[in-house]
Amino acid sequence: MTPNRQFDERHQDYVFACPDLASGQLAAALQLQLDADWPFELRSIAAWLPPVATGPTAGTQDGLQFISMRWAGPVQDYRQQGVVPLPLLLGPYFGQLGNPKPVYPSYPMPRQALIQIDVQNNGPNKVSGMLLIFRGVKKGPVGSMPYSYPQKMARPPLPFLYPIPNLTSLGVSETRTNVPFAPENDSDFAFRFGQAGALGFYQVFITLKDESWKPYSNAPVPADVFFGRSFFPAVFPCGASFIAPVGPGASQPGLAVPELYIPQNHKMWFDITRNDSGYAGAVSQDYPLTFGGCKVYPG
Amino acid sequence: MYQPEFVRPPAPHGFHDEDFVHYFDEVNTPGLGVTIPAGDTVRDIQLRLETDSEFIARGISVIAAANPQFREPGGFYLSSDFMPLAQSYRNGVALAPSGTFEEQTVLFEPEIRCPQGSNFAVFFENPTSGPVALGAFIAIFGVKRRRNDA
Repeated sequence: MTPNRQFDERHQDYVFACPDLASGQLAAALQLQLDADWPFELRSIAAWLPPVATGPTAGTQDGLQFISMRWAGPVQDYRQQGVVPLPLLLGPYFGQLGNPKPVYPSYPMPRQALIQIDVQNNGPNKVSGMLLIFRGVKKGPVGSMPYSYPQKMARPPLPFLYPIPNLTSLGVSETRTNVPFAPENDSDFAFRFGQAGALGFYQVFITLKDESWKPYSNAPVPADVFFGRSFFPAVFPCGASFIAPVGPGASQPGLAVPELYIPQNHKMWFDITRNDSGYAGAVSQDYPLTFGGCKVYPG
Repeated sequence: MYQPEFVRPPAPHGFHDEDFVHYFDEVNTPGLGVTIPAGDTVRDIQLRLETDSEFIARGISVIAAANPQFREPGGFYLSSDFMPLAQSYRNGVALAPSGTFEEQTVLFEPEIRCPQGSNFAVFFENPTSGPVALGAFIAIFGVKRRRNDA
């Protein structure tokens, strides 16, 4: 990849499960501990709340608009003066649908660092199950990412899409582990983005894993965060109402950065969990998932 | 997608690029207006590019009532199967009026070089249990690469 590089980068998401927050409650100095294997460089943030199951706001992420937060790196250098409402801090999609809020310049952190988080619920109702997703890269020693582009290619890389066929009849409360993804055997594949979801799905989580089952996240990531999603309902709180996201979908899929390189005749894996049993009308149905990127033809 | 269009490499020495859109519908490509029986496919509809220069394809936008699969001029398919449109070449979020934002361009990353006089091909599958009128509209965005002395 980059000549004279100091590190190999590997996509990484850290998911932090917030405790339940009563109305008005401030939970201060919460800590997310990073993995011990490689340092981490934080590049973006997203927040996600399980969609409301019943009532007039069913299907929306009502409550997320009332959450405020601030965060700090391992030296407790808070990057916000005080807790900031998430609609302002993370933008209109709360970092979802392939639009994570950038942290720029990025924030390098050592192994086992602690990200410190203050989070407050200023809404009228209790909030449960909120996730904060800290996205970035792990930085391993040069050579720790064994696969990359070949020295010679038989032809220029080709933009390519793989619809994932084996997610038929995903139950409303079902987990499928170690689902294989094997690119066609005529070429390598650089996984660059994904597109997932449809109406009728609410809580779907995905853990991508490399060939040796090493995950790209510390916990399952909401598919709404990792991937772009077409046919997204009016789910995002905006003032007293809810708006449909403008623009996400096939033209703006969720990106994996850096790309995940899968050589010819190799695989990657993923786990998928659906937790929609509490939603009226949720039924077992096919889950659309597409992996995109480019085919690379070794010469 | 991975890079905004303005950072694409400039045309090589001796050439210049001109922004260009190839547009196909049932008027100039009758195959895009057929009716597909339930569960059936239509295959190998040729999307002919203009013959006056090389074309560098950088994005696509598709409206259709069936699932497409494209083949680029070099003979390589751009997906392993027929693709649900909302997962591939069209945004699914419809806002009033008339589906605004549905037709944002989906980028080809990397770009696809199409030799002078070549063509794309598109295949469609009707996955439903009834016949559908295809009613396809396809716009392929990119640049024509012309010689400076041409």
